[in-house]
Amino acid sequence: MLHFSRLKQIGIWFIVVLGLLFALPNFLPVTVRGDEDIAGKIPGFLPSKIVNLGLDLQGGSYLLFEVDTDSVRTAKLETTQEEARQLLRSERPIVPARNFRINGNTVSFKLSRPEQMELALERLKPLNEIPAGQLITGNADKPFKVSSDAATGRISLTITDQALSKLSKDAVVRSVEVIRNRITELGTKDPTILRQGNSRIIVEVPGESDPVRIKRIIEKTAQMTFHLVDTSVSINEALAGRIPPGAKLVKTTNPAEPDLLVRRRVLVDGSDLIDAQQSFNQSGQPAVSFSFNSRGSIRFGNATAENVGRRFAILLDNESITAPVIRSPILGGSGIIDGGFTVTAANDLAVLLRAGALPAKLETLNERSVGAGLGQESIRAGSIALIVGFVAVMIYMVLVYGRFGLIANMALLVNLTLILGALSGLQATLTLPGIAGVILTIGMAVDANVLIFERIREEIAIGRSPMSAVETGFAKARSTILDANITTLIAAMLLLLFGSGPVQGFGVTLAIGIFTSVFTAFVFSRLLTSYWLVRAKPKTLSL
Amino acid sequence: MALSFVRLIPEDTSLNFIKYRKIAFGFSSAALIVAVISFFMLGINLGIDFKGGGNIEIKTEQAADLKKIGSIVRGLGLGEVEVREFGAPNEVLIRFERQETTDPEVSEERLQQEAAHKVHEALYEAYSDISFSFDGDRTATISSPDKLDLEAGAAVIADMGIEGLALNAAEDGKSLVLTLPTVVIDRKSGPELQEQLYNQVRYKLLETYSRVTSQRTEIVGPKVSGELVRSGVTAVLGALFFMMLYIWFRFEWQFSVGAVIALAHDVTLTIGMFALTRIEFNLASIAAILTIVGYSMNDTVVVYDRIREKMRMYKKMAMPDLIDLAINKTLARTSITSITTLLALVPLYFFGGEALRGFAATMIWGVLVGTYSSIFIAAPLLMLFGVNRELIENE
Repeated sequence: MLHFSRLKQIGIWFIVVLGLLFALPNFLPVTVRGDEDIAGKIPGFLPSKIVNLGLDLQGGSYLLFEVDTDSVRTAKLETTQEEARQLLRSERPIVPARNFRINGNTVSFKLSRPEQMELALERLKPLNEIPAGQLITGNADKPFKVSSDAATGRISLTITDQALSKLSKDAVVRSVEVIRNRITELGTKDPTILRQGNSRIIVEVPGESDPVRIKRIIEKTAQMTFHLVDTSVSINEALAGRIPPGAKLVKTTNPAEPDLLVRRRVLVDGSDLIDAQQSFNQSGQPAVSFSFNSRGSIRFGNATAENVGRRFAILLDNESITAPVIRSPILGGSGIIDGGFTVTAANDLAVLLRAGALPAKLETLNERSVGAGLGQESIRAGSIALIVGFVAVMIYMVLVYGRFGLIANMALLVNLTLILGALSGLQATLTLPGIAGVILTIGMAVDANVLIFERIREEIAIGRSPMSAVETGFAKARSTILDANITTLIAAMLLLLFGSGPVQGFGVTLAIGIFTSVFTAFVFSRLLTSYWLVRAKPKTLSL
Repeated sequence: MALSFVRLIPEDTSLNFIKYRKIAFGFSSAALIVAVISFFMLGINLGIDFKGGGNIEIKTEQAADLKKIGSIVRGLGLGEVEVREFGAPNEVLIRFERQETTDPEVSEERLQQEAAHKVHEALYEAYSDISFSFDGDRTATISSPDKLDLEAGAAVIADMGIEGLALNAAEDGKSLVLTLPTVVIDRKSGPELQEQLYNQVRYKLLETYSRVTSQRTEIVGPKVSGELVRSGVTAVLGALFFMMLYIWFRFEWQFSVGAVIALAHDVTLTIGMFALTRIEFNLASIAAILTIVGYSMNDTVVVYDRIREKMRMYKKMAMPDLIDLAINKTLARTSITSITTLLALVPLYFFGGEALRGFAATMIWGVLVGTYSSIFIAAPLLMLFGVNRELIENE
C-alpha cells in the first residue's frame, strides 16, 4: 500500500497540478483577466475558464415557460377541417358534406350522399400525404387515421399520436428559436434558452433582474395569418349569429371599424416570412413591408391570382390589421402591410414578425429573479462560512491526530483546489446550495482520513511497527471508505436526477466532492504519508 | 511534535450498547411518535416551492417596520401572508400563498405573477414620498417634498424604449413632468391604453424613487409546485431504495433492512423537527434530507463493515458481544467525523446567510440523529433479524 512506483507518483502529482491549473484562473483579479496584454501572454494551452456562477449568485432572471401545445392541435384540426371542405368541393361533381365537427383529436363530417363515399375518400387523399422530407427519413407514418361508415356517410379523420407529438415538438422547437431571436433583439448578454421535457422552455438571462421586460417581449405570439374575407353573408347577418360554415368573425384592430368575417382557412402564414421592415407606403404613412420565402411566395401568388377582386385580411394574433382588395396577383413574394401605424408601432410589428411568430401561446410557470447585490452578498457570506469551517476542521484534525492531522489538512487543501478546478473545467454551475455542498464536503471529506487513522491506531495498539501499522491501516480502511462514499454518491445522484434549479447545484458539488475526497484522502494523503515514513523512519508513531 | 492529542473517546471503550438497546428503542419509538403526531397535528411549514405562491425579499434603508409592511401587504387581499425579518433588520421576506381562482378563464399561473407585482407596487408606494397626478391623457406631474433626482428617473424612462415618453423638470423647479405619447396599438387608442402605459411608467418611477429595493423574487405556479412535490418524494424514496439495494448487494438482507429502518427513523425525526420548529420546508430541505440519508447510511455502513469483519474474525463470539465490540471499535471514528462535519456546518449556520440557515439547521440535526441511529438503532437491529453467520463467514 505504501509503495508507489515512479509512474504512479507522477500520475498523482499530475492530477494535483492539473486541478491547481484549472482552479487558478479564478484567483486572477478581474483586471488581469480582462487585460488583453496580460491575457495574451498566458499560453493558450492553459485553462482559462472560471467557475460558472448560477443566477442566484450573479443576479439575473430565470423563467420557465410552457408552450400551449393544445392550441397547436386545435389550429391543425381547424385547418384540416377547412381543407377537407375545400377538397370535397374542388372539382365536379361536388361532394356535399355537413355536420363538420371537431371533437378531441378528430375532425368528422357526414356526406349528404353516402354513395359518394369512395369519391370522397379519393378527394381527401392529399390531406394524408406525407411531406416529402419525411419519406427520406423513413418516418412514413401518415398524419391521420381515416375511418368511414358507408351506411351513414360519416367520415372521421383522427390525428395520430405520432403526428400529434411531432406537431407539439415542432411547436416547442420553433418557440425556442423565436424566443432566442427576440431576446437577441433585446440585446441582453449570454441568455440561455433551453427546451425542457416535451413542452417546457427555460430562459435564463444573467444580469437582468427585472423579468417583466423579458416576459413582455416573449409572451407576444405575433401570429400573422392571411385569410380571404367571406362575403357570402352580410356582416350584420354574421353578427346576428348566422355565420356560414368555415368562416369566423374577427375583431379589427381599429375600434372604429366593424368586425370582419373571414374564411377560417389560412392562405399563408408568418412562418414563411423571411423579412419584415418598417417602411412607408405611397402616401408616406408608416407601414411594414415583408417578403416571403419561395414556398410562401408561391402560395401567396396562387392565392392572390385565384382571388383577384376579392378582399383578404391580414390577421395578427387573430385580429385583423388590414383587409385590402386584391387588385392583381402578387407574384414577387413581397408586400406591404398598411395598418395606419405610428412609426413605433410599425417598428415593433416588424421586429416581432422578423423574429418570427410563436407557434403557440406561452405561459410562465415559474420565475426567479435575484438582484446582483444579493448575489454578491451570498458569495461573501458563503466564503466566510467556508473559511471558518475549513480552519475549524483543520485545527481539530491537528489536535486529534498531530502530524497525521497535518497530512489530512494538506489533503483537504488539495481537495478544495480540485473541487474548484473540476467546477471550472467542467463548467458546472455553482449555486448557493452548491456552496453549502462544498462546505459540507469539507466536513465529510476528512472522514476517510479519520477511518484510516483510527485503523492505524488500532494496529499500533496491537503492537505493529509503524510501517506495518500504516500499511495495514490503509488496506483495511479501503473497502469501508468505498462503501461509505458510494452511499453518499447515491444520494447525490438522485439530487442531480430529481433536483431542480439551484438545488441541482448542490448535487453537483456534492458528487464532485465525493470523487475528489476519495482521491485526496485515500490516494494523495497515502503518498504524503509514505514520503514522510521513508524520510523520517520513525521508531514509534504518535497518533 | 509536542502536542498532547485530544482523545475524545478513550482508546478502548467497552460500552454495552446491546444491553441497553431496549432503552434506545424505547426512546426512539417515543421520539418517532412525537414526530408523527406533530406532523399530523401541526403539519409542516411548506415553502412556495411545494405550495405555490411567491417569495419577495426586499431591503429597506433603515431597520424595517415589519408591522407596517405586514399591514400594507395584508391590505392587498392576497390571502395568508407571512412577513418576517430575513438575515438583517433591514431585510424582509414576504411570502404570499398560492392565489387561487375558480374561474377557468383566468390563468392561475398568471395570478401569482400579478400578486407579486401588486406587493412590489404597494411597497414602493409606501416607501416613497412622491405623489402622482395624471390627467388621463398625456401628462402626469410627479411631486415630492424633496427634490427628485431627474437623471435617475430619466434613465429609467429611456431604458423603457418607448418613443415619445419623456421626463422633465417642472417649472416650479421641484416636481417632474412626465409626458406620454398617444398610445396607438395597431389602430386602437383611447384612455384605457393611456392609463395602461401610465401605470407601467408609474410603477417604474415608484421603483426608482422608493426607499426599498427588491432583492429577490420567486414565483412558483401551481403546475410546477405539484411537480416539485412529486420529484422530491421520488428522490427521497429512490435514495432509500437504491441504498437498500446496495447494502443488500454488499452485505446480507438483514443488514439492508436494518439500515433502511434506521434511515426511515432519521427521515421521520427530521420531518418531525420541521413540524416542531416551523423551519420552512423547501427544495433545499429535500436536498438536506437526501444528504442526511447519505450521511447516516455512511455511518451505518462503517459500523456494519466492522461487524462483518469481527464475525469473520471471531467465529465463536456471541452476536451481542460481537456487535458491541464493533460499535466500540468504530466509536472514535463515528464521533470524530460527526464533529468535523458539525465544525463545517455550524459556521454555515451562523455566517452562511439567511438563505442557507434552514438548510444548515436541518443538516446539523440530521448529523446528530444519523450518528445516534447508526450506533443505537441500526447495529442493535441486527439482533432482531438474526444474521446468518454461515453465509458471512463463507463469503
